[in-house]
Amino acid sequence: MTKLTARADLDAARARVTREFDADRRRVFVCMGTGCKAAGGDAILGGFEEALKRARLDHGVDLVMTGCRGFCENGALVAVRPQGTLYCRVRPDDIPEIIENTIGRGEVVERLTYELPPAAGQTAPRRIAAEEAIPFYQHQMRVVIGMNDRIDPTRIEDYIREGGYAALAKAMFEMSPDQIIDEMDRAGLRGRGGGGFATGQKWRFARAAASEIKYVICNADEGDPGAFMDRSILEGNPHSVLEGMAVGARAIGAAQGYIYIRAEYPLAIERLRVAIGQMRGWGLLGENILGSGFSFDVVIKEGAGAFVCGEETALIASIEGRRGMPTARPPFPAVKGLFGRPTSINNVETWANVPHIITGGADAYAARGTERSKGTKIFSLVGQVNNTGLVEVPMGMSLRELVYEVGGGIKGGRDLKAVQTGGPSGGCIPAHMMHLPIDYESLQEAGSIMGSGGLVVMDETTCMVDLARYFVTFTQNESCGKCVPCRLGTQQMRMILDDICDGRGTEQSLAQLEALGQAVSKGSLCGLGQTAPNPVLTTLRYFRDEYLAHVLEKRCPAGACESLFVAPCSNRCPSEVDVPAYLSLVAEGRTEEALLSHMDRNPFPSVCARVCPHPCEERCRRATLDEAVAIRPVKRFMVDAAAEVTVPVMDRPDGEAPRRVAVVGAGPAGLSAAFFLRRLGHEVTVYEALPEPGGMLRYGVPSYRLPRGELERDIGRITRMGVRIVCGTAVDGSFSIARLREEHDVVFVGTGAWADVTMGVPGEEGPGVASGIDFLKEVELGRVARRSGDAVVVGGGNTAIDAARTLLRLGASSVTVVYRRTRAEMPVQPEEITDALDEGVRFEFLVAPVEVIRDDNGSAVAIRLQRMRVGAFDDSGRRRPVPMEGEFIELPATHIVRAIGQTPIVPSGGPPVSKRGRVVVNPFSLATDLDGVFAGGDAVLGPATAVEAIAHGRRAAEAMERYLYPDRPDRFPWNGPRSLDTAFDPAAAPSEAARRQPPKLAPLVRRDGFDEVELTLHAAEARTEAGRCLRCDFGKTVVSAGQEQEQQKQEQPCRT
Amino acid sequence: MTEPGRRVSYGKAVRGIEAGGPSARASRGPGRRLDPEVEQWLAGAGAAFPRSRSSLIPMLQSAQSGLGYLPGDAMTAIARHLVVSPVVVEGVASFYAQFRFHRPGRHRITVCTGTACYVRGSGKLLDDVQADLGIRSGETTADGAVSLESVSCFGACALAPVVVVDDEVLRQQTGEMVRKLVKDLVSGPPADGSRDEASPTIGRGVPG
Repeated sequence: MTKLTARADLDAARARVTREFDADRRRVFVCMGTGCKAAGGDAILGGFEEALKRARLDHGVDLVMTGCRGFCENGALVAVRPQGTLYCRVRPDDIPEIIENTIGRGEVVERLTYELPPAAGQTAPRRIAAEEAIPFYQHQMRVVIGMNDRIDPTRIEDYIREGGYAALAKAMFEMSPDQIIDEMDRAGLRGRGGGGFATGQKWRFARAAASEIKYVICNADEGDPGAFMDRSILEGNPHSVLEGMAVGARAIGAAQGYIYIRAEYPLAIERLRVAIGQMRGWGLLGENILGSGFSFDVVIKEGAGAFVCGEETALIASIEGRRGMPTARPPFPAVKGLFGRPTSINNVETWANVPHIITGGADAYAARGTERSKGTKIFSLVGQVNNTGLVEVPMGMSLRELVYEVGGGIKGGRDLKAVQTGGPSGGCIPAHMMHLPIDYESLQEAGSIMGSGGLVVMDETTCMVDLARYFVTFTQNESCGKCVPCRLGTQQMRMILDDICDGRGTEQSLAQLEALGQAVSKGSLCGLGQTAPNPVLTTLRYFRDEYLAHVLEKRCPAGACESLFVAPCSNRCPSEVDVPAYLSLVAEGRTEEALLSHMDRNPFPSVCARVCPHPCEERCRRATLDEAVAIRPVKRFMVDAAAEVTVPVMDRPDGEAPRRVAVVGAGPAGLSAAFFLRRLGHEVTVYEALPEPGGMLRYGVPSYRLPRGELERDIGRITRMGVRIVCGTAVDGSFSIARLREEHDVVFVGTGAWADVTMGVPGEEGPGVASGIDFLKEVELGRVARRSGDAVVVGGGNTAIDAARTLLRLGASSVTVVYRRTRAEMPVQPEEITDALDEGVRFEFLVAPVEVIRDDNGSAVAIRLQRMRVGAFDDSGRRRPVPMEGEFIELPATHIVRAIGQTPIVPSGGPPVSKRGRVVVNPFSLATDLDGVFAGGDAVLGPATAVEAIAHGRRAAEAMERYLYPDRPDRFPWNGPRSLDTAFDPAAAPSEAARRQPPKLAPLVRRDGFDEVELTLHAAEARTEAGRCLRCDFGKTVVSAGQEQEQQKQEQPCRT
Repeated sequence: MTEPGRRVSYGKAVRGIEAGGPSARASRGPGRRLDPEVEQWLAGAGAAFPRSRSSLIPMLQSAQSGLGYLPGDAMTAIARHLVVSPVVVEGVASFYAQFRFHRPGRHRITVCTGTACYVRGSGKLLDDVQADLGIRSGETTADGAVSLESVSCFGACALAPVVVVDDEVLRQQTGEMVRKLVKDLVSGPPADGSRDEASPTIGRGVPG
């Protein structure tokens, strides 16, 4: 290549490379971004080269190596043009097939195309072959990285063909420095490194500063953990950054540029070196570029691993060969920067935006984005999201759209908890704020920052306290040490967070954190210190309850803080049952001990063995090996095999009379509270309005799921301990809560959620339409005989499915469940849906009732339903159902059961309730606004699970004991030190047995009656299954609420 | 004034300096002969650097890449070349995380603990590797086989959690995969020289 010496030379060169480029030629693009390289990109590139040669196609097909295409999760990526097919997760063995089918015959290799994450109720995989049709790309606006997918970053010809260096030519020949700066101002470009300072203004200051020598610096010290935008730009399109720098140098009057880049990015450094060499060779760098009189050169400086060097004054110190410590501003680098000269420091992405503004004009650029945040922003979208990778979206897009439409939603269909932007300087934005637009101001108002573009998605398994600790640990390590508030403050914050995560924190720790956070922020010189407290302060702001759970209950709801639990399964269990303990006891055939161990924290083993949705299994670490341990079936075996056991009642301390406790409602919450209070030695009376105890378990769960004998077994154990249950006695009228309170020392309200939510459609009032919960209650009371005719159940929860399966057993000729969303979004456990389908229940998804149609006699004959489709994502992370204009269906229905929601019933004169009708309590003590009155279960939660109600019973019992004896340290027998003597060899290989699922009655047999559907595992099977447990609990002792006072005395942390 | 033997204690490289940092400080006189390896480096790559302060970090990087780490003599040599006090060189070297003051192991395992890797479990992964190797991050096994390090982000966040073994980036690692990997490194790889099957590496990413 001969040097270009005039503008015309550049135009001629562009014309030549464009002419030589045949757009219709067959091309194979192999992605060589870091992600795809790690997935074998080199082997694939080499493989194609060889295979094309072998197939004698090396002259007919171009093989192009590109930079990052962004879809890193699916690497290694290979695109074939002109078809525009994108192949994902390509391995070297796949190459012959691609060459033969796609390049040879123009056919698509189906199995290598992109597969959409499985959606609602779908069985066959859905695949997309065309790159541009993949949702991940469809919702993006790829401007700055737009060229990445079609140029070879090591070929300047490709860049020039795509319009490269036109901006530099324009800036040198058509624009004065002031015009360039004006253009930047009008474009509204703001610093992409995170600060968001106006680039034009920055340049204006540097231009105005009087000096012979000036510098431009490209800040490529991308140190934010979780961010790789700059890396991908430099690896995929290094010329765009260099061109931007040259334009900036021309604007401020600099002749020398520096690129300060992390040494951790060797590929980016290599690509830059190649690009700089080419620029020199072509005459686009050096003296008198294109004869314009403008001279410019660039030097690469490798960083040496100090996060603080991302701060501009520290970066300058580092280039000068000093320790990278920030200095006070002013003077700003624009006035006195590198080697004391005026310097403009901009981030990689900022520089890469510059050519687009100059070439396309400021107006076109400013048309994208929001009022105050113009253009696009590149994010590295990572964490628990389906499509991790590099994305570019217009400013102003909502976080929700970014996470769900571009990101494809949360991995494993779990719930989004928060997104973290801005790395260690940013904050966590909770799920309910996903409607926020992405712009500098909105993110700042939410307590976070735009940052350089790392966007980490977190689901419910991320502990926000642990995350705050993670970031503070990072900033503490990276603090340069110059400012004391930052150096020592971050250390103190970390120690307090360590305390909280290890169970030594108190409520006071939170106040200390807040105070320290403010101090560090105010007392630090540079951005690192000023923003270091952000992760802590935002998590305290949005996730305070999670902090409180750590300090008040010594519980980590996410299951990340290992000191606080024995194993992930028991941590996930609302009742915190020691799962590994009873599993290992069952494995050794010690079923009675296992049962007692279970009863220690949950007095309803028989009930939970049948109806619990077993959240424990979701967290079972065995699932990373093969499948989760079948915890509930083992429990079922345990309760079926064990002889009866008795739980001891504690003696009250000497000279202390037992206190009198009244419990309202004999459901799982009330009976559990009674059980734990009785264990503490109190006199407990339970008042129940219905004829038999059990509450929702008896009147809301059909007996084919929970045989009444089993329920009575659990209740019997409680009454045998001395709990008195008075049935048929409603607490209402003169027998009020106030009167109970007068006659007792303390009262617990567990009245459940028995009121139903109506559909609000014409024809709903009248015979033939019933509420799901009333229907189930009437059946249990024996007031409902057979049901003939067609039945329709509206809803998607447990009550809906229970009602449907009960209707079938009562003889309904057809039963259809109608639900307004899709199957995947039904709140009921998937297993229940399968069981219902097996028995013959039909389902209609995406329909909503609009009218109950009645005949002349007023009897219901049909239900009219509006067809729905799925719309955009809502804040719950589910797609919102939207009506399809004019599309209705009618289903014949003589019996219609609505089960679309339940709300609490609270006796008049009871504790105050919220707008949603739920009893207002302190979330930790469960104390209501009435002195001495506590509440729990569905009355507080709305319709929830039995195991949650049972957990409330225990927590209320603890709080009531503390209320009665406020000055006494906690001494709850169920929180005592753990003693488990089952054998376990940590060195032995885990059991190789596969998961056992218990048998069920055949659908045709079971649908005719109310016999229990699920059967028990055999003894040998159950013991083998229990033996599959990996024993995550082995050797662990944990801190539980009430133990910490003693522990703190023993090991008072030493603070400096 | 700073006395010659004073230890600086900023930044995270401090452990290296204090534990085993530059030796023979007492005999650091101007005429003392340096380690031959260092002399060789200085005569070759080192001499090419201009004698200006801004060469300091590039020289340290060059020395480390040539020698594998920064022995005390290397820093003395750089100080002599740039005509600055050795304290200045050490002060800069100890500030930056990149510089090592121990001879590294034959293999290097680096666990990424960047945010993306952390939320996908790399904290526990690092714990597991530390337990398996019996060393902490930043240390080398007694037999000199393996050095363990952690780094805050490789910029390969889409592949989290990432472990890098001798410059080879391994994607989406689990405790089991890394355990296998460590076993292979310590006792040599399997006979066919590949660890592909047991521990998915390049081209064998675990389906996400």
